[in-house]
Amino acid sequence: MPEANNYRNVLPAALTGLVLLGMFILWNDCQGRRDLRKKKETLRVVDREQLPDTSGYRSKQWVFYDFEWGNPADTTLHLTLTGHNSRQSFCLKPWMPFSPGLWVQFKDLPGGDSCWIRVSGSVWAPPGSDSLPCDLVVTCNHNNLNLKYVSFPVEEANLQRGAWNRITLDYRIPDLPDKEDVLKAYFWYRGDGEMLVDNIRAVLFEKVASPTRDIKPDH
Amino acid sequence: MTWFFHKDIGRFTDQSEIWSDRAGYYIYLPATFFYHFDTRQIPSDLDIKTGGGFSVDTLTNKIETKYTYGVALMVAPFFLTAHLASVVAGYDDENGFSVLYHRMMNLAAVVYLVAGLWFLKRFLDRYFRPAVTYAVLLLIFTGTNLFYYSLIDGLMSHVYSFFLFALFLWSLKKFQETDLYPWFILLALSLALATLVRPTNVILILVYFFLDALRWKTISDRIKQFLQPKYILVFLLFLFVLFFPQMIYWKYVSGSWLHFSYRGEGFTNLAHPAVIPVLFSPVNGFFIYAPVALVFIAGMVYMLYKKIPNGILATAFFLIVTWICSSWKMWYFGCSYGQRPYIEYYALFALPAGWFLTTLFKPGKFLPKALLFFLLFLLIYGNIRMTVSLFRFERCYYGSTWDWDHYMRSVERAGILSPIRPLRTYENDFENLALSPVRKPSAVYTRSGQYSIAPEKNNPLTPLYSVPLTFFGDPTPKWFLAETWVFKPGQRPTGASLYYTFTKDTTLLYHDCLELDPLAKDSFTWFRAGKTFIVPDLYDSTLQINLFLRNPEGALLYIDDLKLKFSFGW
Repeated sequence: MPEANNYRNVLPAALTGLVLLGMFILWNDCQGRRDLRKKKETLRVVDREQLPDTSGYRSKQWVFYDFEWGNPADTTLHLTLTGHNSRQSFCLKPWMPFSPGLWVQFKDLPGGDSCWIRVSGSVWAPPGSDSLPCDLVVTCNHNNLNLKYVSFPVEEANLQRGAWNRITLDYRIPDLPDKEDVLKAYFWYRGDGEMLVDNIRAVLFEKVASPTRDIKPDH
Repeated sequence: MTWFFHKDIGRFTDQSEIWSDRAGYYIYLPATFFYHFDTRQIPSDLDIKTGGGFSVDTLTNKIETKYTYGVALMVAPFFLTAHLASVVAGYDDENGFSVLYHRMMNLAAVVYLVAGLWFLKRFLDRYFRPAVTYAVLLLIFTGTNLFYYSLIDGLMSHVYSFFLFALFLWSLKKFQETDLYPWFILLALSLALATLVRPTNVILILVYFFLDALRWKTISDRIKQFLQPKYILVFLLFLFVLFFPQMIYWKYVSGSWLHFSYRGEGFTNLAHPAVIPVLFSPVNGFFIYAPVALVFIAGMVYMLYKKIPNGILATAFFLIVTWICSSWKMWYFGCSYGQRPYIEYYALFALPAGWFLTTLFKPGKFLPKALLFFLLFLLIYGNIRMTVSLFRFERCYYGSTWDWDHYMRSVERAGILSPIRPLRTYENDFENLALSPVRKPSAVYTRSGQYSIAPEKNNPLTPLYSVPLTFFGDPTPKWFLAETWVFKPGQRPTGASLYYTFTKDTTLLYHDCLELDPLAKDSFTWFRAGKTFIVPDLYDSTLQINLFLRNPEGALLYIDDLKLKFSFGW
């Protein structure tokens, strides 16, 4: 049986072991808290993505349709003789539910998933109409698969009746598998009447590399 | 502490004390004192309400439990106390299922735990100084699953077996020292009771012959002594007296005096024991859930190396128990915390642990000693956190035999390591029945282990995996590789496919599939089916990834060893 004096440095060693355990728990706790903070920042599920601050971005208008070209008498063009501060606009019907918009391949887009696109258009809300069953859609397409489909229902916007209303949708461009993949944006009319859209615009926001300022979009 | 754990736990839930296996052990008491083994007196859904640990067969008028009545006998004083208190206070005892009975069962486990630790201390005092003895007790209680099976699942048999083992060792030691007959009676009684509580405990009898035996002559003398009528007869008498009520029960339930109640289970793997999974699998592996047990092993090695008495005995017992556990059909013992059949043997493994700590307590370099203490404290801390986490979140381990990714996330969820890593892989070898997507896994054709799954004929979609997208955190995966092994017994096309869906609530947003028929080159051969599936880049808390085996014609085929690997970049 070991002698009692053999144990004289056991207690300090055990206490040191306990202190080390305490330090480990504290370190682990700090790691956990840091991770939790990060998660709170990144895991917020939002209805709409929004580019809050464009100051760290370089903008470029990618497409713009004012529908001022073409003859309204040509029914294949679906134009009407009324527009938003202009003479013509595009008319959506049940058999022509999709408006012209953005169609661009990723190989033609600068940057990667740090880019945003802001798509906007004017829609005419007829006086007395109950709703405007229409979506502003932005989506990425890979081999006929919509990888990130975001839509904004126009009828949920606070529309002013008998006037042109501006509808806007921000969209964070995701990192896609293939350079041939396509970024699309358009209005989609789901009703059985008619709907007018005008001045469809897509503006690309490309992040500017800055050594002093690193602006991360809040998504 | 046990009441603290159970303070918000109601009755008839999987966290309540009298549930499932625990109810199977306990039912002998209410069946004897309240229902008189007459099913007409039992509430019709009692067996379902208590988790199916026993069954009530109204056709044959039988209450069936596969467990022996040893645990019920051990907790009977607490049961009777609860009954007496209910009568005196005019409290509705609900035929043995009121809250008071639940709390008394919690108390019973703790009383036997404390008594077991006390007897173990008296035994260890014969070998080690008090500091070492107390350290061993602390290590065994807080560093192993004894903590869980005494404070949380106290109606399982293990804490009672542990108590009886400790009592046996102490009385054996006293008997060896004094050669007084009353000590033999005590050790024989504890051995017979331990055998009743868990029949495999009968191997403890080997300790009687081998403890502290330095020569073969000592062993042969002990055998001769044991075979003397005044010794063996009293042991057999205890066995008979204790087992006779059990035999009456077996006669009642099966018509036979001897009855193997574990139908469909048993030691089916005696020739091919699952030793490695039992010791190291994330599914209840011995060293994985009680890493402090490495101290036992280190102590055994030390004892063998230094030729310290009982080194061979402890090592042999470790090997025998490992073989027994590995041979059991369900080698991971269902919804357990670690390998619970080892718990009672911790009383014996306390010897090598004591020798290891004795060497640790010897004068030596301060820093390695402090680091070793840190490691031991860390393992104790980890065990307690894992125990609480298991109690709070899920009683079953929902991982595959070698799914370390799932295990590490369990460790991280318990707060032992931070931060929690995102889900990267998923595996299912269909050995863990808690993960089985079908009611009955198949043992006909298997690629690995004992089981594969065959889709149920009346169900065209067998769910293989499902996970909410939010489970991944940020970022979400961009694609995943699904790989499984398929066995097609016939030549005819099955129309079966691996079917992936991406859903929002109940709306299908995207789907893809992998047809299995073109991949099957030969029938009666396992073939690999693998495909990459794209996860649409969408943010929503209700999005879900699902993988099915689609079998529209109800064809016969088997699936085994499913693996998913999620990728977060292209």
